[in-house]
Amino acid sequence: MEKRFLLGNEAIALAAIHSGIALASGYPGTPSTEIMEAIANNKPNGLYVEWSTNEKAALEIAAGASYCGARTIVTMKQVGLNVASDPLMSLAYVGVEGGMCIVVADDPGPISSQTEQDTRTFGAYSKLPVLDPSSPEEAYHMTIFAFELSEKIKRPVILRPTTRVCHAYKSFDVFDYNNTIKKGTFVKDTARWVIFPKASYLNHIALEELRFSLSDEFSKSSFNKHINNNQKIGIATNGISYAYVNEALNGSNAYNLLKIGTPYPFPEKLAIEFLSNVSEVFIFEELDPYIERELLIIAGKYNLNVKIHGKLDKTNSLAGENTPENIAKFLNIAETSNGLSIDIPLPVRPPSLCSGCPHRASFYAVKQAMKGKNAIFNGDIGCYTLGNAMPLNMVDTCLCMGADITLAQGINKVDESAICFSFIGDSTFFASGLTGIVNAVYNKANITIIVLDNSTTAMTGNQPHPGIPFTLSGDVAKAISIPKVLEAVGLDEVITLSPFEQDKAIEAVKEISAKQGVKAIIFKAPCVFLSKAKAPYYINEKCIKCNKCIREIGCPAIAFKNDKVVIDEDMCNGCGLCKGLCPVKAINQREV
Amino acid sequence: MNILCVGVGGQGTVLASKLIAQMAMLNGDDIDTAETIGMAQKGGSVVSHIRINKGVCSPLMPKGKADLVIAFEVIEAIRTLPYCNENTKFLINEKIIKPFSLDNTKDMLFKDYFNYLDNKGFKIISVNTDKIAKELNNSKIRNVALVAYAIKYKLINYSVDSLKNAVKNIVKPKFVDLNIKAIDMVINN
Ligand code: SF4
Ligand code: SF4
Repeated sequence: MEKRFLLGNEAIALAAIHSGIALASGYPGTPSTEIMEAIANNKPNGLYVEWSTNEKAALEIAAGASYCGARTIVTMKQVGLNVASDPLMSLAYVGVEGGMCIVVADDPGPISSQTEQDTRTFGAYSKLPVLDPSSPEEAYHMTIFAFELSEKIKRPVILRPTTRVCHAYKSFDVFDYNNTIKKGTFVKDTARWVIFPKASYLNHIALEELRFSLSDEFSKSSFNKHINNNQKIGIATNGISYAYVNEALNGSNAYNLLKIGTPYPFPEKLAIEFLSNVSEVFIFEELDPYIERELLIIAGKYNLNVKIHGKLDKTNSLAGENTPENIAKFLNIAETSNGLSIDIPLPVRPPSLCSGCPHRASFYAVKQAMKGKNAIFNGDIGCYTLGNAMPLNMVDTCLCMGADITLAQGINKVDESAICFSFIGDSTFFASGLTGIVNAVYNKANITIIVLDNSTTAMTGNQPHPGIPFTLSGDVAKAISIPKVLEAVGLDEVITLSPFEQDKAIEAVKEISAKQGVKAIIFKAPCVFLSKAKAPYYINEKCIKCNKCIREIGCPAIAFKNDKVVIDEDMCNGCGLCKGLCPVKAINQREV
Repeated sequence: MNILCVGVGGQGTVLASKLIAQMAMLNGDDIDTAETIGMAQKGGSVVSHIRINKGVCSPLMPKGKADLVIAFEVIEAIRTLPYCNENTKFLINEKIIKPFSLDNTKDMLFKDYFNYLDNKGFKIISVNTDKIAKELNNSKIRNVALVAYAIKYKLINYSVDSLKNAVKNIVKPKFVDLNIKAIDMVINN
């Protein structure tokens, strides 16, 4: 036993390694990314890790290994499960041999996501067990349990932490489990591994039966808690909200308490015990009213006379995160405070493209080239979504991974006069851009694809992808060339250039977007996190304070200070984009 | 103790929070922290909640409960007020990063924002890390320097040695010496 200080995601990674996994696969996505990175950084010999091209691929790869009897972990964020839902729904029926833990990290808020979808609901829909940790420590223990359970029921188990658990660090005791890595062999058994309607009928029955048997088992699980303090009012909660409730209760027994760590199958017997002892229940949970629905069903099914308050009667807010103080105020035990107020206007600070970011130069070039034209800019998921902010204002649509390519096609089919652009990053290109591009060529679309190739998956903290010559474990890889792929699928024209050569870039955009068909410009320049900063730029006394450099590109390093326009040389990455737009040539680079 | 470590994405507040957590661990204290990881790291407001020996607690501290704010930037220091009370202490890096706005002609000065906090009667220590960053030719070194200042001015109860050990445990080997130098510069100044 040893005391460790671990990030929730590291705790999950460590538990997976301790469980003897032979394979880990995933696709980066906040708040799940650090799990795979921690596995890769601590992996024993014989453990295979990979960033897969997308979540569907990741899940299927792990399924193959689990068919052979090996233990596997798959990681993704909640919207990644949408991509992986096709294999998930079938795999629930087919099952696995080696234990498989699918980690799907939810993001209440949302803080860094497109949706506030709830994987407890998704898990229940797939009929696979879902575990919902309330702390990094519990995430560790649940991960260990997930493999044991999965092997017992021969089906994958879903672990669903939320951002505040994934990104919380906690010091706690870690035990020595240390299972050795068990590889496997594939044993042919078509009745088991080939999904067929007849077998699916039987598997459906088995899945439904599992709901009943696991529900009974979970009623006794230590991940669920019922604390009967002989009070008439009960609190039901889960995940991080349980931590908030605990802190606010501060040891008080003013309420009966139900904590749910196994949302699916729902621990019905435990819930009956809880509901039979109270007349009123308040529920604190984020995202869907999941526990609330389950309790309402049980109260109805067993005719229990109890009032249940949560999101469905609008007692609690319908969206967004819970907070420690909101719950504390409600429970009204410890002294609570609103803190001090801010009584001056404080500027907001939304995230923005970094200083020196090549995306800024790419967007600016397209913007210049399209001035006065009816152009529509379809964006995608990644740092470059931030191109929507003023002053660039270069993202007209953003839906989900890969949709920039296909939305542009649909728009152009009915709004033919619109010049349709698709902006896609290099990682997204491989994750979900390709099928849309093939569609464009085959169905004779008129779009201009702008590949923003910064040689990394930047938003999630710089992971490699199939276009990069190395892998997650640091091995040399065969990088797949984006221009070659585009040429191979039959694009009419593919140009590669640096967005920092602004004049050339603007010309290229003008020329290529005027043509019919599917054509692409690859703006290639590395993310600022990958390249060493060049000597910074500064503004000399020739400056006429026209503010053009500030208003046109919005580089965070340039600001108006002490009645002067200045570049914060600490922040400047020396990209040189601002230099070109100064009308009096007041911006120059420092000598190194 | 509840500490908030705040700044602008890219300034590296996470490292400062990790250093404090490491010191707590080395001291045998219980520690919980919550980090901002994700989109906000690209130039947005970032906050680390650090909770030492709080027993059963949530990783996020409730409003009004911060004992100490370590701010890498002054606007972000003010943004923590809902987490503060009259007794909250502040350690502020003398730096202002102006958020982008189209009307960017209006001036925003460190001293105006600093005075706003100062007039509220808090115990505030402001430090300038420019000299150290310049001398060591590394702007990321401000992280460790700020934590060293917190020790020097007795805002946190750990020793200089424990900070040096924390550095050895979590900073990349090739940057350890540079970090130790920065600590010594802060302490001996
Ligand atoms: S050179 Fe100009 S545009 Fe580029 S990072 Fe520096 S200030 Fe920003
Ligand atoms: S564009 Fe040139 S002249 Fe205009 S404010 Fe910027 S540096 Fe000064």
